[in-house]
Amino acid sequence: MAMRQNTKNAKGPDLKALGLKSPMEIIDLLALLKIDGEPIIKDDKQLLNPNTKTQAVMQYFEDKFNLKPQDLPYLASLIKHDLKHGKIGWRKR
Amino acid sequence: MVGQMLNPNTVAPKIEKAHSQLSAARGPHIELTSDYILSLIQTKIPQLTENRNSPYSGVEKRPYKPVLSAQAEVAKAEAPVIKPQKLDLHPTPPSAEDYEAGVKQLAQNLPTLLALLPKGELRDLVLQAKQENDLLAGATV
Repeated sequence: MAMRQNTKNAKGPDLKALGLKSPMEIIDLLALLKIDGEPIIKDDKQLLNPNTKTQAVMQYFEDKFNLKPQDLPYLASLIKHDLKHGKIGWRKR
Repeated sequence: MVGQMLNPNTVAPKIEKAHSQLSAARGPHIELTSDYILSLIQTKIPQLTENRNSPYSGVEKRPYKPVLSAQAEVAKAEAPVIKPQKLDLHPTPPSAEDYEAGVKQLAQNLPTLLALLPKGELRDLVLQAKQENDLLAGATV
């Protein structure tokens, strides 16, 4: 049981319980953000490759907000929640 | 045309143009402020991560209370209170008269019981009891 607990912690939080479908959804959602008018992904080429996209998103939040990668699911979950409840909305370019 | 050499001077601007078009076609985005992100990081995320095993650890726990419809509430109020009866684990043995009456009743019911029972060990036992009963009845007569 203790071993099972450890493996669960190593895998990270339960995405389903956070209202997220997959790990990539976290990156896709955060990559769409524009914070203070500045897009998180500046180079369009990074959008085309999932690995570079993930790296760029993680780097941005670590540099700007000192947020560790393991906390990104929680941030994405809270943003998704606020989007669903209309607290924040989509904007067209 | 196939096999034609590409001129870098003509291709480069085209690539640049395609790139700008891709930027324009990025689609919708979510405009947020750093204050909003900071408020999430400082207040909401610690609530969620205080116990990483349970993502709902920050959620207020409420006791379960079933919600009944008005009709169900009335039915519940009007329902008779049934008290559980105590089981008599050590009943007093029947009197000799009661015992005899019970045996007679059973003997009378044996043909009905036989008709109902399927073939098997139990039916054989009942049949044997009936035959013995008939013999006894014949002897007494």
